[in-house]
Amino acid sequence: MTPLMQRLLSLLGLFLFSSCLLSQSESYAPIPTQSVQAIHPGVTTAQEVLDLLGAPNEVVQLGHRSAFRYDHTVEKQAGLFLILFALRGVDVQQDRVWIFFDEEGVVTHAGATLQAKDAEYSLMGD
Amino acid sequence: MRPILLLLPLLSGCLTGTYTSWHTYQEPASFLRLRPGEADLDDCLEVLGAPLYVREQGDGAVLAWGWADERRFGVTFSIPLDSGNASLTYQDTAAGLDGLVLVFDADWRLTAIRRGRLAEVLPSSQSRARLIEEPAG
Repeated sequence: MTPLMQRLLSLLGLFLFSSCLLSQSESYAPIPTQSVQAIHPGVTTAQEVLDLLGAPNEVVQLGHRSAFRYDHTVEKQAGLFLILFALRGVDVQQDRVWIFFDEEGVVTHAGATLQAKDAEYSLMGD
Repeated sequence: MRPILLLLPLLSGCLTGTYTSWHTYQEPASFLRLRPGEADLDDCLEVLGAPLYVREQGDGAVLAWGWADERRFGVTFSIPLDSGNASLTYQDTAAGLDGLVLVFDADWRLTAIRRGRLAEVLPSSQSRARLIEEPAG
């Protein structure tokens, strides 16, 4: 075996010491799409929102009005560890819903971003 | 095999290069349709989805949307010591949470748009002082 071949094989051997990582973490309960669709401005009350979605993650006072925030986060992480080098990719996606109420506690506006299911394992990002 | 190759496994954990990508949310180009004095909260929620942040601002409110797309290269060198671990770290980061801050009046009409690093464009909290009404008794 030539010295060059020996060096190449030695370098190739380094990659045998690699390891991989896949992990997923979630925070708070998933937000059911049907529950969000059942919220109608001018009709649904704060009590009905609580019955549909449970306790909010945050309540914000806006003068005599208020707003509830609900969220659910999914984080997926992929990693490749060689001896002297590591690659790590993290994708964090979130379901997030804000519901705004008037002074009487009736929904005036609702905004939803439902992306938690889109989280992906990726080493190098998009 | 050269002796140095036998030592390589022992070196693992001493010198580590890392490439980390961290991605969440994307700025929607459609936010350019939102014009102060014309758009209202419904328009903004339809274009931007649910905000990250909602706070009272005077008689109205301030809402913020944010996103991050971060790529970071780092090198770490550490030496095991009897009393712990000494390490040096270099990291090149071009990151941060960019976003939009939208200001609304009491009727939920959009009055202003600010764009940039949220830490820089978010106004400081300005909650109004309130009378505390005690129950009659």
